[in-house]
Amino acid sequence: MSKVLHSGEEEAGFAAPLTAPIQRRSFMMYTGAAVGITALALSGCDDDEDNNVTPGAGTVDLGSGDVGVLNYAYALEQLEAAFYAQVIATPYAGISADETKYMTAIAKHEAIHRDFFKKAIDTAAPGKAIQGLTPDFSKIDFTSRTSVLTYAKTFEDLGVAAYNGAGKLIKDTNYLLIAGKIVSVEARHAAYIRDLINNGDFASDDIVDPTTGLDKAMEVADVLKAAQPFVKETISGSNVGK
Amino acid sequence: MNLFHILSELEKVEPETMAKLNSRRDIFSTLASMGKKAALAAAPIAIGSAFNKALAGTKDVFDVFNYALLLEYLEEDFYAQALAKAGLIPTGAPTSAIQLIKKHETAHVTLLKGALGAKANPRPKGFDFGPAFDTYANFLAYAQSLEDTGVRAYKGKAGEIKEAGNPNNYLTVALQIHSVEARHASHIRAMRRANGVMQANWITNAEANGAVAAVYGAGKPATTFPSEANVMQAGVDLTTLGYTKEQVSEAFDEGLDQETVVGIAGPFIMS
Repeated sequence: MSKVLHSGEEEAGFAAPLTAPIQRRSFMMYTGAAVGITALALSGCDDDEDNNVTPGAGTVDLGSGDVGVLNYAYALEQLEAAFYAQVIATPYAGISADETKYMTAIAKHEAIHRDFFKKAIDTAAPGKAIQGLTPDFSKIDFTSRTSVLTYAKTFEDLGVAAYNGAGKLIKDTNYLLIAGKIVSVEARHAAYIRDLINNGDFASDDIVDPTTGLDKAMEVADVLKAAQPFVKETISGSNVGK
Repeated sequence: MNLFHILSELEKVEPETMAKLNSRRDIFSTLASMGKKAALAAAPIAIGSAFNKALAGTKDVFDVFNYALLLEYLEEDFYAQALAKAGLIPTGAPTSAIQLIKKHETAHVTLLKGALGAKANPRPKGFDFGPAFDTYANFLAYAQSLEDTGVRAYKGKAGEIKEAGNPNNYLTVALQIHSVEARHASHIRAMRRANGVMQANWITNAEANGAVAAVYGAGKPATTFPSEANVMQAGVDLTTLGYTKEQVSEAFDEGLDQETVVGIAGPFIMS
């Protein structure tokens, strides 16, 4: 049974990118959004999964070295991808056509980042990728533009600071370049979201130090502390980059 | 093969080179990671490459920061000239945004000069941006070109800073500047959208939309620095995961090499 389960999870990572990190809790919402047959197959897998793991109750260890850094990024991208997938599935009241267009684009970017990291880890270190995480968005009111944009800003700024802080932990220069390719896209998102809240806040003094002109860089432990309230599983990142 | 003998000979011929290496141990730790057999077979090549790396550690990071400083001088001057021209930038939100961006570029100049100390290159005599300030539309197109170039330029140097040994946490500082340039680029692109250019805050394919086309093209080597239309990451064509090439190209910003960047920015610099 566990083998079947595993192949189901693999499929979630590749064949059904948009649904991959969305586990059973939010599953009903996604079938409601007409995700289709793959998602239905997935739900069967998740039911089986209950025999082995209680969703949301476990600890997920990101691992060490570069694989740890990749898993760290994979965890954050899972969170972002799940958030925007929800925004698209249940748009907030009064969403404009432009906002729908660009939120949809961001949702795709984050899903691509998530699927990329899964694939990269599976290639570099088979079996070392962390599981699909269970998001906890209970604090977020997805019907409210203010609530959605506030949390979007939180996630994007956190993502930028996380990549900026993780650069020094990456040993393989190729991965460093790839992290650089992603962080600037996250910064573009962050600026877009901030301008939606208040035009001109794309790089305001609360996020970019007015004296040094530097964006934030955060250590792994601080990032995970900020992200933890939005994930059911307990994430352990104490060996990331070591 | 006697490695100690080779090193002794090198010390005689290249005393300066040897002085720059922290210790012989640096060479051997590099060789050790290769495995004994491979190390013996490849020793001459490996030693040469180890020397290059050790030397890079004492030299290149300052070159990289001076290169960054030149780009920041250029950006700072570009916005200073734009703000000085009455009536070019509409008052209100557009002027406030450009003032904020200018403030960051000035801060970057100060920061990089401080990090370089006596090694900091002086400000060029001046910058000539040609028709950039003829119209607001021109100004925005040039601004987008410079910001998107800045993002690619910093990204292209991250590896070199890392391989230089990341002294004084310079890599993190470079990354913290890099993401600010991306925030600027995002907002400038939105300002152009508000001014009638249909485009997103991120880069779709290698579309310049009236900005400088080379900014979005391939660098050298193209395998490391492909155009912004690239869909291959870590050997995987990400369109095979169920996404369009537009979506994949948008999700990753590509880096750019110094030669290509200088080719883009060089014509603006008056020497």
